[in-house]
Amino acid sequence: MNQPIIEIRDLKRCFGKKVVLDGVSLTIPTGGVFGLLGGNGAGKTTVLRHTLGLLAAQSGSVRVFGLDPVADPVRTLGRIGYLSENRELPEWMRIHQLISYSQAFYPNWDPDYAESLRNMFELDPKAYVRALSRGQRARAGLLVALAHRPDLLVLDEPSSGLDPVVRRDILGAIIRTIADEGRTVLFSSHLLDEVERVADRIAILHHGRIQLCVPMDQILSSHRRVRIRLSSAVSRFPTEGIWIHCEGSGHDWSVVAEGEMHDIQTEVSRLQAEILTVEPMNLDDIFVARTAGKPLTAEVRS
Amino acid sequence: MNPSPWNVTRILLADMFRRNWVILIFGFVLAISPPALILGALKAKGALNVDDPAMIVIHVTFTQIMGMCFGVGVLQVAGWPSRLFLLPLSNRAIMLFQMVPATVLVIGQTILSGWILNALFGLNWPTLGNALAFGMVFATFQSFLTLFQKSVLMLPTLGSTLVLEALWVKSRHGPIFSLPTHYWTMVTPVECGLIGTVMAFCYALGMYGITRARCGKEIQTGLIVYLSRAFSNRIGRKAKVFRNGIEAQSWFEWYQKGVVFPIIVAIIVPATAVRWLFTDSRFHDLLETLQVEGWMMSAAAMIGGMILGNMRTSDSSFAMSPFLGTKPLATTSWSRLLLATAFRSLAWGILIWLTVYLLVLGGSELTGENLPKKPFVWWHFPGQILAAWTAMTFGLCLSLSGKLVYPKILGAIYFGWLITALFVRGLAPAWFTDYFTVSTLSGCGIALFILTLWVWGLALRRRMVANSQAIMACLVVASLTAIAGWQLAHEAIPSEGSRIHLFLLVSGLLSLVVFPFAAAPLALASNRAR
Repeated sequence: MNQPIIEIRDLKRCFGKKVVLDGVSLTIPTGGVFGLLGGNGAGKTTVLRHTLGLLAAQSGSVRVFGLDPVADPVRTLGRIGYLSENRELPEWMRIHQLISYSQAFYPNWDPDYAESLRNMFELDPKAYVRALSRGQRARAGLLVALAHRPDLLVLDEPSSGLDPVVRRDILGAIIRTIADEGRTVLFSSHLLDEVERVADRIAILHHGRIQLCVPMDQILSSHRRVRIRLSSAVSRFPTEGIWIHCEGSGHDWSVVAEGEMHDIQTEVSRLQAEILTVEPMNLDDIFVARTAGKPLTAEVRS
Repeated sequence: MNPSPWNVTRILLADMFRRNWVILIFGFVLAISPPALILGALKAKGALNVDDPAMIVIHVTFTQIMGMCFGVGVLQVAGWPSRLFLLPLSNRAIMLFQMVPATVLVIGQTILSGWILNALFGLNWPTLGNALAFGMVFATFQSFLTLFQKSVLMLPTLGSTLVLEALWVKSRHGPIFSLPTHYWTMVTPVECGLIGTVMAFCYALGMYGITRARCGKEIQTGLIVYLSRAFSNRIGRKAKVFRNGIEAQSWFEWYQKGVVFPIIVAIIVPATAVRWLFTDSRFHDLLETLQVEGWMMSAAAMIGGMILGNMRTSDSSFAMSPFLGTKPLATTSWSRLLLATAFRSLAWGILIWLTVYLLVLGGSELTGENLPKKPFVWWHFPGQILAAWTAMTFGLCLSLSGKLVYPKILGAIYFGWLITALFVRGLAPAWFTDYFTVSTLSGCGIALFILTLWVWGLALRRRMVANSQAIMACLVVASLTAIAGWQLAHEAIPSEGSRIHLFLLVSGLLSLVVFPFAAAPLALASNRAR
């Protein structure tokens, strides 16, 4: 494995009495695209803000490029490009002012690349930020985040406000290009088809805990939806083993299993049941199975 | 729920008062406290003569100050009418909801404050005329806000209307081009009718504004907007090239927030001169007013500092926005940059004030008018600059911390002290009043001194300031304290005890001159990584 670009150890964070992060540990390797998934209020933005040094760890530690982003903001933030969730930009600036202002902070700023991005995003240099639509603000924010060719690009809900064309073609292409250049993209999203398309590795955050942190191909190959028929009717499906989610009643159950096919067959035999169908799952279904309702297994899988 | 407009209005009103009663009470106490304290001090020294003609000027001035302080709170509580546009309310109901309770509150506050001051100090000030007039002014303000919103037309139209109304109110206290000569004791039916007519006109104007705004028809400002855009396009056409992040951030801080204080001064000082034209028009009085304004500049500086320290890009929650928080700038460099911007802002404000002061001084020389009997005391000018610097940087550090709890704590301390002081002054025996004054002033000075020491200690421990800077700060405070001590020793103060508590208070205040050099990096760091 590559040298990790971000290392989070046992991070805890409370806002008042609300526990938002409850012992999060996460290692993100250098290079590639890392997707952070979770429902509303799962703690995605809080994790990202810790990596940017915008929140100080109440307990645990955060290291980015091997440095503490709170103690050393110049050396960490100088190598990070960030697009915030709510697209906060100074309303009074014009686009060309925003570009020249941002350029001053980054020695590696590439003016040609910035200009090509501005053309690609169709941003009028004389336009005021306050006059931009939400989607245009997202593009302006993306331009500023990308033009200094950061080693780490942190995108908080990057698709929010972008139209499908920009989202699919431009954003997807940019993310892949950065990853192909050996740099790292960390992004949070709940648009799972998009994550499935671009991410190399994902982590699912649920109720302030990491539920899963695996490579994308592994998560897709290890989860299956299995329809099984039990020999005797039960009112509650057995929760042990490889099963992570179930629906049904009596004899017929539709369950989500995590494991190899022979593990599933072994478990089904142990239950004295028969397999009716086995279907592959997409990320959307896996996410819902892992986060919706009460999970069958309480333990953290990572 | 019965969804009739009246029922909705009733529920909204109840909700408004339930959520904002603290602001209203705080605004009321804040509005009445300066007059109460000043009149209390005059009464304690036996200098309060209710038959003195100068009391008429004091009455008119205090009524305006109280009305404006409370009016700001009421505007905050009333909010923008646009929040009601999606509710099932008619335009008429929205305007009524917006205008009537707020106007009634302002009228009620003026009458109640007048009664309280009359009862406390036996003033016999009339209340009804000024209360109705202030209601009219407030209704005008609200209707123009509703009609023009953020249009550039608002300033000239509202300004000229308010000037006309102010002149009319002034005419109720004597000739327009002189100092007030008598109280407005009797409100005639004609005056009531005129005020009622203006209020009705304001209501109609506000209704028209709501009708337009509700369907997105902005007021067209034609030539003014064209000129403003042309000017703005001209100055913003070329991109500025910055050498580094510090330079870029300096530009950002100055253009977004630093210019606010000089603009406030540039509006207030000429406005004073215009107002002076409608009183006795003697340079003597204008000079005295400008000297007082030199001290009052501290209040504007504190507001300017709080705006400068607000690190939000769009609103005023004070918490640093991610856009700024992710800039690769060292916290200590950034805080120094902010202090430099505060200094620049202050320098421009003082330059504007000083220019007007010197012009007036020159005018008085040219006209051969005698200067004030009490010439400008030598330490007033540096004192005013230090006071403005202290107020601005204290405000800067408060908002830079990103925590609203600090202004709230300070507000609560002030509130508690004020209530206690009024209570003590009104009810306690003389010896206790003296003891209270000496102990609170001394305590305040000592507390400020300790606060500065603590902040410097913390900043040194976190290596946000160097030892050499701490030594320099000590030298500055010691020098300023020595000068203040020397000056106090030579001032005509009745007893030794008075000198000691004044010395302690002044020393504490002077220690705040160096307070921001340690507090600003601490506040910024806590706001940046919360």
